[in-house]
Amino acid sequence: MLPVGLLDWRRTDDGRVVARWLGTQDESWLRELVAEVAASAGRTVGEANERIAEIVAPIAYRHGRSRRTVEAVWTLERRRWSTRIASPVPPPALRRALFELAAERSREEALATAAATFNLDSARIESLLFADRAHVRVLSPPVTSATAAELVEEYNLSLVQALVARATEVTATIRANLRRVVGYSKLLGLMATFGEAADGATTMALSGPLALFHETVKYGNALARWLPALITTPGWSLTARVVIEGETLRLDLDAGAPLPRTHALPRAHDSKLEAQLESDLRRLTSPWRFEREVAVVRADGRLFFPDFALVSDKGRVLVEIAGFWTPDYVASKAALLRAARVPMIMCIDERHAHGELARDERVIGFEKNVDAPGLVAACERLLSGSGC
Amino acid sequence: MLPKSVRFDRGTLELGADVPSVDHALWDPRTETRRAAAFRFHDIATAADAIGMELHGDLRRNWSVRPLNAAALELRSYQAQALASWAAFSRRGVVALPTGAGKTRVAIAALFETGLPAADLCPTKVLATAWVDELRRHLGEAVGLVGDGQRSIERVTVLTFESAYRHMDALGDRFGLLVVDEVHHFGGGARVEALEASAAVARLGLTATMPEPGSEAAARLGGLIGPTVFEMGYADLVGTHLANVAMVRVPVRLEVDERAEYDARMRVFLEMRRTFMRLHPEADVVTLLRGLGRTPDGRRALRDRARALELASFPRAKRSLLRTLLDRHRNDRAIVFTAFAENAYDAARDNLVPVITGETGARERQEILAAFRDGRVRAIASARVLNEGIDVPEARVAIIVAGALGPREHVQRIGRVLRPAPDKEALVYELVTTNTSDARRAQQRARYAPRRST
Repeated sequence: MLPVGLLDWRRTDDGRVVARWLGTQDESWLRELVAEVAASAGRTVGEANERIAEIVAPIAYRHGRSRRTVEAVWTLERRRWSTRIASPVPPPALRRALFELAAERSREEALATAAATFNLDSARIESLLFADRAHVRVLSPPVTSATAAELVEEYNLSLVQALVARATEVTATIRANLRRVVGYSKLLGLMATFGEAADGATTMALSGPLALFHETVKYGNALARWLPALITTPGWSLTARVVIEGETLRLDLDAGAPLPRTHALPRAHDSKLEAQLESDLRRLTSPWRFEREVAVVRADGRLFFPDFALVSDKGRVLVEIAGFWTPDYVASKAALLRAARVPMIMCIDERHAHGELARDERVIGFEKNVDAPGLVAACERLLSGSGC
Repeated sequence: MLPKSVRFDRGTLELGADVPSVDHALWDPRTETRRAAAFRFHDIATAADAIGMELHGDLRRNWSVRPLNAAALELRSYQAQALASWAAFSRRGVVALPTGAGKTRVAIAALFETGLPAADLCPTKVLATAWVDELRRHLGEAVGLVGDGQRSIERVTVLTFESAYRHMDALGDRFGLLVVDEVHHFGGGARVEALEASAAVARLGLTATMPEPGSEAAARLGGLIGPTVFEMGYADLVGTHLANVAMVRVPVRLEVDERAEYDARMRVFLEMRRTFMRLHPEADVVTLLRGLGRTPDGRRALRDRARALELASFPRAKRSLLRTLLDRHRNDRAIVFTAFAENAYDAARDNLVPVITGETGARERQEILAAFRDGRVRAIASARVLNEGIDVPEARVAIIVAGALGPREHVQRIGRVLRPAPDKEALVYELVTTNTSDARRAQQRARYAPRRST
């Protein structure tokens, strides 16, 4: 993420914040900047910053970009570089010795004594006194440099993450990989309400626990970290309320934004079991088709993300495959089934389908693989009214 | 088993249907439960107690209470009064005492008397390590620290404000007592989530500079910590419980080239300010700076102004005078306060004295403070890090080279040399560059300085 002072955005008359992206047209000046930056190897951080400050304005002017954009790219590139302390003696040891000497003697005497102790001359002692400060450390370049195209992607993502990090709430539209995206938000401690967009996609309003009581940017970092997961999903969009420069503005983004997919796309199947089942259902050539993306379902006060749905002209049945086995987990699945107000079938390892689960017609036991014809038959029964 | 009435959830409380209705609890559509911010636990527990209801999941049951006798602390009379007053206000409120009057001692007494597991919040990592040392010394048990690169949680744990803002939602149910040093920082509303996410029922705020009564800041602290339960100023304590202090203001002039640069850099800003204020007569400083920052010319003028302020804060005359003063006070223990970190490093190089800034690592900072206490070094230069709370009773001389943060900073800095010691007479030098913004700032803060007791 970029510091707020380097964010390049504009405010529209209708109260929106619009990010100024980099694109392929910027790659020529980025290459120019990277070449200039490469010359910073062996210089101190301060010297490199001064050099960059000199070239920022001309580059920005020639290519019609703002200075802060150019500075922001250097900030990102700089993070790849490492630094070392250019001193034969650790500066803290030097300081400790010299300052204690200076408390007892004159400046000259203290410097002379320290010089003798460290086998350096007085002037060198003075010059090394704070050689460990950040801006006098010496820069070493990264093993491999970023390409201009990589910098464009990194810049755009950093810019938008820095804006989202100032958000009080984010509302996203998700058209694929819902379970993964929601799971990641939970992992980050975020909370959500769900809805349905006009086209049937799931909408998700994300914030944190204390956001219920007042607007807060406390969860901005979590929201910014969550963003790459959203970006992996095709057709995504997002609206955020962003607090910046003392104003609350609206940020609108969608899949057309030039943002890289930095996260791997989630696997199509949660398990081999599920993959096998889908394949078996296809081979059946039954009128039931497999639907992977299923909207969120609320049951028993909790949110439920079914693994998939089976759909035919008779209707739609949600299917959940109980994936692991603890008494609490199985009990929660039983409670879910009790509270479900939509047609739903649960596939559960028959060794664990005890008690009410064993008696429920909506439960299909399986040993190794779920029996596809059995599942289809259960769906038929359920929708004909005998099982639900 | 009954469902839980109260469940701590990331800095909030999920409330069961059996919990009596309390203000500020809201229906949360995200979980379909009633929810309140964790700091409302006091209200919820009080309401339940009032009707004799047993709260399932009552956080208080998880707090091991180990009270100690505060008599061992030998509190001064006003410290004991402050503690009694806080206890009388249901252990919720702010104690306002001037720097050097021993607020820490009041907090430790609160820890002793309540015996509750406690979170102790303070603004900086420097202060956090000082609190850990002090608490460990008095309590004789391990003290946790979250911040300054550490994360150890104990029954009594110190957190920096930043760490509390980030982590209190994971820790807020562990502590029954919340102590907030320099509590005025929360008056502006920034990072109040650190206080909201704690379920502590006993809350003690400490400050030397309470916000004006009736102000928004005072109301905010009132809601999150409690009312001001005890207040004393310098006038009540200087000469008795605080060292007497002599204030010496030393004016200096810019040299000819410095004056020319200062005037040149300020000129455009002053012209722009005049124009802006003509167009927006009601505008305050923030609006002015924001307005100017919207144009390239305005930003250039602001950069020039910033450079002019830096120049006026530490011109050659101040640099030279500082050398003279430190030489004069070679046998004293002195703290040099500058407006900017770079000036502190310049002062350190010129005079070969240690410097403590935000860049100084924890270990070196501890070593410098120890060396200062032992007398192995006689002075420390700092910009802002030593402004608040660091306990250096040995310091007798403060040299205020320049200030950047106004009256509150000024009062805090002076307080650093007011810790009482036998026959101690504190001395505060204030170096002021005439006919510059530095002089105007000095004038504004002057009325907040303590007066010598006669």
